[in-house]
Amino acid sequence: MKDLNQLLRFLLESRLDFVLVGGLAGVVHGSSQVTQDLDICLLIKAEVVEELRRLLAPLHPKHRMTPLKLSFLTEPREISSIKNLYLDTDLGPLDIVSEVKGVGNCERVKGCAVGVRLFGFSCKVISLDDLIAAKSAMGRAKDKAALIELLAIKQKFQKE
Amino acid sequence: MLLSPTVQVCLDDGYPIFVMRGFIKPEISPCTAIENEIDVSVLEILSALSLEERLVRHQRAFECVQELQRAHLELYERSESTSSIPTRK
Repeated sequence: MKDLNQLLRFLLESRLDFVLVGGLAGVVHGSSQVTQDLDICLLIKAEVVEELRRLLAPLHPKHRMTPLKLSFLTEPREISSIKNLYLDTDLGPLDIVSEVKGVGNCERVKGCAVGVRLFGFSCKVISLDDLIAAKSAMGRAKDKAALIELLAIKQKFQKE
Repeated sequence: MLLSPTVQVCLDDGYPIFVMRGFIKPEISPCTAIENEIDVSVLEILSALSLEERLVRHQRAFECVQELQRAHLELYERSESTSSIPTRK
């Protein structure tokens, strides 16, 4: 069974320095939209990719977007050009991005992230304002629906 | 309606909580099809929950959606296998 919460808990346990972004970050902020993957923002560099391979090995990570579903543990061999990773794992799809469209790179996202406690661990979550900026920039139908909700959530916060 | 762009999933406690877009036929699901609306009462319910409770409820909705997608795919495959496409000899 795919379990995005278990996947998140797994990543939090690893002490990987990431920011939760995307739909699940929206859920944390109070959105009602179902997301079908876990998105994290991470500074992707050679040693981080090696660390990810070691860490994710028990979850059998594969490149979701490749027709042959190549293993992330061995591919790509040349890792200097990696910007984003779209993986499938035993616990569910995991997207790892090095920047968030409409917001900026990982350092920028991290700089404004909010710290919360989830499953007994501290977790950085993209700020509501940045998530709104990201959803505005994406412009897909599902992002527009999410954007309407996030703006309503922001408005509610401002009233309180 | 054959294809619903948005589906509102009612969890077993009766609250309509999560909404998703996708190619799901509402007639095969315990769902309500809605069109590009946000339900403020749903946001009120969610705002009263702890962050972990929100994630736990999301996981239940996620499982429900996966089940719906599987059911939809089966239905689609069944209808494909029973439909005949006229061919010119």
